[in-house]
Amino acid sequence: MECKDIRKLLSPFVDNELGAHDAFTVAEHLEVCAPCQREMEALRRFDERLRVAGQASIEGVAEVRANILALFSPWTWARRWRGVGAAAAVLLFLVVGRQLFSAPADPEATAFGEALITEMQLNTAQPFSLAWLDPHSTQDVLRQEGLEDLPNLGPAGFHLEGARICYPLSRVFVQLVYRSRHEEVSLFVSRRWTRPLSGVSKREGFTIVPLGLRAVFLVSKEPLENFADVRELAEEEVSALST
Amino acid sequence: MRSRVSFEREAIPHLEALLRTAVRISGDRARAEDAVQETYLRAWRSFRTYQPDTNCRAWLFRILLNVLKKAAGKKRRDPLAEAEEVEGSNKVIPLFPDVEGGNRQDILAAVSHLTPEFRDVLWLVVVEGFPYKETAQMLDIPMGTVMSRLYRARRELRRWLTAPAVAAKERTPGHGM
Repeated sequence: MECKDIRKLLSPFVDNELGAHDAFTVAEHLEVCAPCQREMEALRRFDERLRVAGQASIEGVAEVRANILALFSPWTWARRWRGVGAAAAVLLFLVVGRQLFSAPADPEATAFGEALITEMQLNTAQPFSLAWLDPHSTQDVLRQEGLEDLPNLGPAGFHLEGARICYPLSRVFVQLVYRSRHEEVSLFVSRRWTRPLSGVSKREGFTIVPLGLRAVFLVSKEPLENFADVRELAEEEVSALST
Repeated sequence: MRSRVSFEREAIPHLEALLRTAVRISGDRARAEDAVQETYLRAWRSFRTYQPDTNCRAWLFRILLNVLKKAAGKKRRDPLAEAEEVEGSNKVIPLFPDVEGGNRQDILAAVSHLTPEFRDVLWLVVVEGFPYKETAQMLDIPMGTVMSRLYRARRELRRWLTAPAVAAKERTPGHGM
């Protein structure tokens, strides 16, 4: 190889990115070519200077780190939770599929359902808008509310992924998020809610399915799998409404 | 389960590298901080898919570069075609003469004048120490393009540090850069 060919290989050579054959060829050439050897050394020296310049500490990293950590601090929910106090009722909302829908609920239920949908959408659109609780904090808050068995209410094939405190229509709820491979289900729990919803309703691609006096399932746009139990309950609800 | 603790342990240590890269690429501290925050938001959203044994740093950088690219918005020029225009003859010229002048600010200023595609490759490989393969994956370009851009980035940087005024003139509209 001539010098002009070798010099095109110096860049990957100093980066240790040449294959063994080319690296050997370049090394052999450098042994006998002083100008190319000087250029390789200059390249290495400049890379080092650029590396040092680039990696020099920049100001304000601690503040940025604190801001990011604060977005998902478990204490964020705790401060909000203390201000509201204990809740009064339990509602269960699950996210399932598009198969279920029926007559609209009353205005308050409609507004409340839309607030829940907003909470669902926040899960993915703004995951830090409300803090996720770590497992220990989740158990604490559920125990505090006498709801420690609720995480086991998730449908078969789903695992409890996380929990957070949310405020649909200014009411305090614990949102338990269950996930299977392709689906997400949220169970909204509150002891503050005293008025049962009635009727299955569908809005914005989500379907809210109230189950009995204390449980409401929220149905998502995603396809249903492994949800026979939930679907059966919802169908019973629809059947009861139609009669 | 999505674990905040494991996310912090894996991802937060790379914050400074992400921030300095975002500052260098965006050219603006406020935009860089926004981009880094957006990067962590996106990383958290997809953290359930993150494999513990994979390269978290490269993963975060890839997200950051996508965020910055989206923020930049406008379509970029073809740097390779432009570089070919000014590369000139095949005669042997120093790829990187021994430039000893210039302090840290001079060097970083020169980097900021590089074409974005050249600058990004140079920064990721030389400053952040990513291998060509990971750099190619992060930028979604072939490895050969990484090699080519890096060669030209180093050469362009030399032009700025040896004769910044000339380089500036050549980079103005109508001068082929």
